[in-house]
Amino acid sequence: MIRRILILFPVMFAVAFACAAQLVNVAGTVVEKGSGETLVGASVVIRDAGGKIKKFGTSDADGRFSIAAEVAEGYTLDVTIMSYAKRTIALDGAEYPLTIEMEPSATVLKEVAVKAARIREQGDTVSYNVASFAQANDRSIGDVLKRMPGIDVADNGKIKYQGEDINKFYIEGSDLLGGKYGIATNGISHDDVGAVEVMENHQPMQVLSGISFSDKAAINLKLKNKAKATWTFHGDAAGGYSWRPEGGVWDGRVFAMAVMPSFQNITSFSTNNTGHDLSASNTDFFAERRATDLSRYVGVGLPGVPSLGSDRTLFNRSFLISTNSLWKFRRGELKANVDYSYNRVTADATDITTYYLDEGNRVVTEHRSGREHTHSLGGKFVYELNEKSSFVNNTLRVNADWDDVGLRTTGSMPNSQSVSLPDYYVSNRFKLLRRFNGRHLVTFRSDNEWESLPQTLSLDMNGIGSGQRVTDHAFYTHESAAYAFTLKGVTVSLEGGIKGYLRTMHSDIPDMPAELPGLTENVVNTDYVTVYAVPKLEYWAHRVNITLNMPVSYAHYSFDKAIADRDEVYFNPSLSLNWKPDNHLSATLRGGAGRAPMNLNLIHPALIMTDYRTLKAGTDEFYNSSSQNLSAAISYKHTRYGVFANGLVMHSWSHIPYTMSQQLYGDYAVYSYADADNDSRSLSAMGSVGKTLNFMRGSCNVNGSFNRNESHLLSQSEAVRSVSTGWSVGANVSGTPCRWVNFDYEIRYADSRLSMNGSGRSWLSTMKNELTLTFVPHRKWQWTVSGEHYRNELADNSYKNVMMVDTKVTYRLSKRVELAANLTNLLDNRSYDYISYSQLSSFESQRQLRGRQLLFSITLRK
Amino acid sequence: MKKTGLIAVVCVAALSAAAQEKADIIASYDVKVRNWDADTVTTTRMSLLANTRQAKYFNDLSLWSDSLSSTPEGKKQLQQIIMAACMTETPEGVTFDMRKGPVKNVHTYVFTSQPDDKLTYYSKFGDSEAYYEEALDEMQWEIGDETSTVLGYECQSATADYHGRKWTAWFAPEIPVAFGPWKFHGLPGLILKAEADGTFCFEATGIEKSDRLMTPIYSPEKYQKTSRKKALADDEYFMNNREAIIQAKFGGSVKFENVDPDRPKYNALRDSLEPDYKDK
Repeated sequence: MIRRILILFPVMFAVAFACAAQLVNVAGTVVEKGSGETLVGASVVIRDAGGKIKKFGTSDADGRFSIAAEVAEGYTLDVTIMSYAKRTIALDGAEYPLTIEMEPSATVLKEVAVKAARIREQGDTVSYNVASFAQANDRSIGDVLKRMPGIDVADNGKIKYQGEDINKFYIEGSDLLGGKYGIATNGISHDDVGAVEVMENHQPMQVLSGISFSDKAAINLKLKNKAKATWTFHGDAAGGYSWRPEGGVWDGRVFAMAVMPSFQNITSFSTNNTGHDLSASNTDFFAERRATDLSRYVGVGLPGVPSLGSDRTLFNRSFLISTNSLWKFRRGELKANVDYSYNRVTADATDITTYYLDEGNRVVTEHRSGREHTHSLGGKFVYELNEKSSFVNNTLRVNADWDDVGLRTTGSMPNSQSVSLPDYYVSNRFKLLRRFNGRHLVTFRSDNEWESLPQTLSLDMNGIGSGQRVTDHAFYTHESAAYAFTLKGVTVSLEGGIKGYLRTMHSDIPDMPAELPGLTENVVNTDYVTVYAVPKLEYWAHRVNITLNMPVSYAHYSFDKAIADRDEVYFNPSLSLNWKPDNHLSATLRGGAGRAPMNLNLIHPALIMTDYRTLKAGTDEFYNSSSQNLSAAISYKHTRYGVFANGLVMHSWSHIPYTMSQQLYGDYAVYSYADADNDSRSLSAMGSVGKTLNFMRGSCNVNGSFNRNESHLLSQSEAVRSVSTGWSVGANVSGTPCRWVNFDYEIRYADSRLSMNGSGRSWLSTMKNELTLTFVPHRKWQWTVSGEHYRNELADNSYKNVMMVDTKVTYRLSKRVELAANLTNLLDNRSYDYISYSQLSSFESQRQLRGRQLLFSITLRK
Repeated sequence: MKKTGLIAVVCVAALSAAAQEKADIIASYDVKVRNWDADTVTTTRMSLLANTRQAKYFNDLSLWSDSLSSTPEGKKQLQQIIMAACMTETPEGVTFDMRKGPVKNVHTYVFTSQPDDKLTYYSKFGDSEAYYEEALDEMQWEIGDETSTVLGYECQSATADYHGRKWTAWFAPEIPVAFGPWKFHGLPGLILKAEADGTFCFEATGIEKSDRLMTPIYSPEKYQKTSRKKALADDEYFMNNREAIIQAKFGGSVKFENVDPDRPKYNALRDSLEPDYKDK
């Protein structure tokens, strides 16, 4: 009873005072929850019962506030500060001073683009404002990247900055996708990205900063707030009709992304049969070469069409699912990337191959019709800790591919081939770096890889069956340790390690055509153990970086009786010099020389059938090759003017003590290797200049390349000196000259020539013009029309012209829903002919194109 | 000469030692002011970097130009850029049009600091650069009842009598930053719009998160300390006697064409943001 009265007392007091407003000093302290640190500059607002602001103040340097106010019933106190969650406190019955604990939380801003310069530079980071480069018809961030000067996106999705491949692709500072960033560039809507940042001289490992120089750049996508701390989804579904291949067509995609402070995920699913090649979304652009070093001997591929986009030529059914997650812990992060793709491609082609021989030309005509199924399942699991004093990375990779090709050929040698080419690969790479006292660096590495690459070719020729079977396994292990220390800009490092390699290859041709000479069975082991050391000297002053690398190794090769064991010593010094006088200019000189073992896959004394009329015999000896190279690169940028330029010249020499020769037996071509001095030289040069065109929110680019290769070959026991020369120039310009129209125009011209023993064939050129116009008559409507024109020289002054016209109408129903109708190949062009030259033959082809196609699509966004 | 150099070095060192805070947000504003000597309105684009403690209000082009000019190397570079942009070679000779190049024409910077309880105003008054400081409590707001939407943010009105004008401001309680364009501050939310007497208007055109550094004023040594009222009076005197002052400075060698003797005079009551300097 007494207790009840005690409780009642304060309630009665409260009731008594509630009716009349009362002047109180609303005072307190604002602190961070957990740490208890006082917060300066918090906004403190007293609102009445109706939410109207009555009085306000801010917390001072000690986190304190004090507001004299008339407070009545229902009054509240709002406390807000950037980067903390808002607190609302009822003042009824509050006791002063208050202690208000604020919980850290991202303040969500409804961002509206600040009117600012289109490209901004801060130190080593160049930032591009995405909205100012985007056009109405752009979908993904990849579409916009293509238009930013200095950035180049290849057709396969690979990104270059100032002519150099990027070394990292980040989303909000996290490396979620590794080298498979095509998923992001093709998937993320440009509308979700605020800015694209390019970080020059990016050193991804913090532990190496200040110790090792990087001349590569990284790209970081800065998302808009609406795309952060939430899931974003968008999806397309399209269906329609195609005149060739005749029948229904579909194209669908679902893309989901979450970018949160401690978790990121991108999941995408795509499928189509409209000729859209999904491999751009699934290529690992940072993939290191597999050290198991196996390659396929059997090479039955479907006929393709060079110089035309896959969406014109690919008769496909494709399917790709990819899911990528990243979890951040207090120190490290864990990533899992899993993807599966399926592709079914059919192709038809007629080819006329002419072999140039001294006794007259030999012509082989064939018609091919084939189908390929490719399944690929991949998983990558990474743990990484990236700190200033230590770096740990463990990457486990598992890949399984199953490729089947069926190819039917009619013509001079009618036959049908069917090939099964599975590939199984597992690798684990571990890397640990530690930095002591800021100047000493220790590295440990352990890589282990295993691969199996069985190949089966079944051949049916006029009812007679034959074929080729190959089994090929390899295991590779590599352990190394390195120490580096740095003093006054000089870094000296020494890496030492051991590599081991075990490989077994077995091949067999059960029924070899009688007219062919040679062995049919290979049992080859190519094993080695290498001990190596890499002394490295790096001098790093303010504007200059000089790196000298002097790897030396001792290797023992054993070939299991087939060839005598070999012991070899290799030394491959290289020097690179980078000079960066200011923020605009950077120049690099590189040179190297050395000796290398031959490709061990070439060691096989017996013949291997690569397709129905090509057989290859390898060497029965072990060779070394030597090479020298020299290159110079220069890049210039001026971000305020939006000017980006780069150029590269490369010259290399190589000497190989064997050369490939070709022998014809009836319709069969047999390649083999012979002892010979095979010297080759190659020179290549390329350059590019890009500029923003601010007056029409556009940009332009001009680029060119030149290359020349000279080599010596042995054909039909005769020495042949062949020189191939080619050059190309291209330009593109895009912009939005007024509100209701934007355009993209590209022209490319290439010329090439092959000459043998001084007698040259004529120059053959290709030219492509491409124009896309988009009209936006109303903000809900959009009409795109585009044309491509190809002009290819088949023989001297004989040209093949192809014109492609596409059009698309888009209607934006609401912010979330968009409808479109897409008509491709309006003129219904169904064939494309071309001619190309290889070293000893010419190849003329007639190819099929995708015909007219009508597609209706719906796009949904969240 | 040596001494001035030393002083400059000390100043720069002192400034860089002062905490350079990172901003939380950046906002862009369009400032519309009726011109005093013509019946037209000039729009100037300004930017505001702010966090919970301090704010910096500036013009992008001026900041870029001043950052370049603060080093001898950059100054040379800036001159080259301006020369390249403004110079046109014609068969008759070389013409020079300053309007074509990236030439700084906004001199105002406002640094507002809550911990220091003051704002510092840098500008060019008349033909000399100067700065003055002002206590933050000179601007006192009365919260109003009206609401309005600016840039998608619901804003509440507030009014203040400040230095001779009655201002109406619109602030967004959703953005807990107690600053705004120009010298505006002291409301529980970012000021997205402020207007007075139909002739002065500041309105936000964009807002984004930002972690840019709020660098202090470049080349502080070239600004002289002054008081607000004196600075404004100097400015008025210069505007009404421009030709005479310039002629005096260059010894009468400068000739002005098309000077209309009846051209309007600068009228503080009508033309100045802070006409209170005329109060006796």
